[in-house]
Amino acid sequence: MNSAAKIQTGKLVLGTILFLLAILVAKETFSLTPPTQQATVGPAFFPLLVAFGLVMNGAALFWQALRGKASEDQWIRHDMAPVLIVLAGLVIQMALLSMAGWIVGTTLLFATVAWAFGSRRTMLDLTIGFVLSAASFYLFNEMLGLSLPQGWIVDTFMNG
Amino acid sequence: MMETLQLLFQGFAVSLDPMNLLWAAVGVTIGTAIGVLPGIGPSLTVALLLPVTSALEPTAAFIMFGGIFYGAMYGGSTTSILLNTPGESGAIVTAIDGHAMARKGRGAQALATAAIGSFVAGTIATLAMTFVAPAMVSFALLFGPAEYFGLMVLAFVTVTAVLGTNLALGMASLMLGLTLGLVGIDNQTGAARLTFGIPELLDGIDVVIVAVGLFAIGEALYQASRYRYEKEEIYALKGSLWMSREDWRRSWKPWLRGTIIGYPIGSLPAGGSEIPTFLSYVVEKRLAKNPEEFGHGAIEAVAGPEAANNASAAGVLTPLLALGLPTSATAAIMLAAFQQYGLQPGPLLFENDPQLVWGMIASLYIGNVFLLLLNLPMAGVWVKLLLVPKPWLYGGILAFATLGAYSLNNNIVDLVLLWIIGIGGFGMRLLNVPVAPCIVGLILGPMAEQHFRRALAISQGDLSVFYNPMTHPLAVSLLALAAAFLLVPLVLRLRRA
Repeated sequence: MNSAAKIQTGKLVLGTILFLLAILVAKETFSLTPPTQQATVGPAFFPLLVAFGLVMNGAALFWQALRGKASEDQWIRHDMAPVLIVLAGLVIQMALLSMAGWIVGTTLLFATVAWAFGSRRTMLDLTIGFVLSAASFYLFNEMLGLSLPQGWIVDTFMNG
Repeated sequence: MMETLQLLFQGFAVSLDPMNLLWAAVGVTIGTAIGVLPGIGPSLTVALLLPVTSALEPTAAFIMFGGIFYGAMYGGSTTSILLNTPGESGAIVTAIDGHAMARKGRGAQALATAAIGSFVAGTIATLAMTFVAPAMVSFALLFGPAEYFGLMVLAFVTVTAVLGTNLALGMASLMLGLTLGLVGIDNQTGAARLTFGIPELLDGIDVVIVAVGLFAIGEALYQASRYRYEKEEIYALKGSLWMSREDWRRSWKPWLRGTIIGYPIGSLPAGGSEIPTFLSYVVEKRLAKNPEEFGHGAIEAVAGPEAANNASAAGVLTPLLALGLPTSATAAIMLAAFQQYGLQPGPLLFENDPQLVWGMIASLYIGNVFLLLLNLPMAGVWVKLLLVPKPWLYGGILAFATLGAYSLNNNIVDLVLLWIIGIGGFGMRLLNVPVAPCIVGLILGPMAEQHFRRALAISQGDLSVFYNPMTHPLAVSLLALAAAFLLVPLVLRLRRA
């Protein structure tokens, strides 16, 4: 596909997403239990307005894409592999957060992202990630009163 | 007038308290440090640094916020000048000639004219805000729900239609924001909308999640997809770090003109800093004796837009504080920060919490002085931050992005949302969909709905509050203006085609 065709496909995808969102919003809104409290304009009015706007907007994008007018925008060259690695790093962090805690999860996130950006000094990346996440853990939990998760492994190990 | 000065002096008394002075200094320093990092604009800086203020009481927190905001503006110009990676659209113009100056070895002078210009513009514009904001407040006292609704519709339209080249893409961003804004419990009836039975969604989707997802995660994914194609060159600062007499002579008028352009446009609901910076560039080029130098490192083309950029930042704060109306992504995040403290900016805040409002305004003056001191002698220190290699830079950005998202409510659901919205942000980036309408739509959508319904409740269902110019002249003219912004360019385009 050439650049213009890719942009058209992109617009079709975005248009489709808007259509699907419109259906979702409308469906959820119709299944709302009517409020007991009386109001001039109920809670369903704005969602339906938004659903209508989504449909119109999706249609406009389809029209633009199918009319096929060459867009002045250039499709940007990109690799998908590093994107997927970054996304995987975030999933790893999410999965580990409550079990192994903030420090372990974020250290691995840092190292995975560094790998995605082409760094191959993994030990160094892990070390820096560890220092950064440990420092943020103590700074934010001890000094600023946040509660980043310690992880139940640490919990049971330290307190039990 | 006298009353305003009196309130301002009380504000200075608040902000000169040693602890508050310290928070202002901390705010401008970390604001600059984060804002300097490539790819991080002022709105992301403010969103990422929200958790830092969580332990503070509101006045101190907002003094720090003002400092972070102004600091991020200064830091952003350093990045665009030395690295040619503007973190936000307001810095694009600065990057053109600023980076050209850096390539010629005049990076230090570009940074200096940007810093001094930002100081001049920031100070004058903050002064303007001091007097315009109370006037706007007394005007806003005339506003009922119908007028607020009109104002918000106008903000939707201008943020969407004025920016970007493709209206359908800008509207798509706005619609996505409005859809996200529907999620959660309806304030007036308690109905749970679009929550899919997930209890964590009952409170709605936090603006911070969306801003951090779109800006930080989306940007990191985009940079990851592009890092093999992009080689950046940093031009070291060399030679004299000071501006010559000639540089001063060529800079001072653009500073003042940039301020005059930046403040009023920034304070209108017109999407912040893009328009004033472009306008300032055009004006300087028109007035210059050497227009051919523009694009190749003309100091006027850095001085003017940079001043306009900072003046518009103070401009954006004016309707935010006086009306509770955010007109840029950064302002939307600041509004979210106010709401986290249970505060709603607007006339009532001026009345009920003058300590906070005037303390914050006064600390903006002080922050500007700090920033000048931080940026002129210490420019070399900030430049070092540009040397952080990309793998570590983005590793760090993602660590802090997830920290901010997680610590909002201490739950994983927010991280899942962040992940999904980040993918969306990457897609928007590829398709060139503007992000600001989404964020403004998310925070203003629910407010617009409330005002709409309140207006109809007051009129007992009579829709004429939105179209009868005899009874509601202000609301009707705001809505008419919004319609004009939307329809006039459309009609012009159709006639041309």
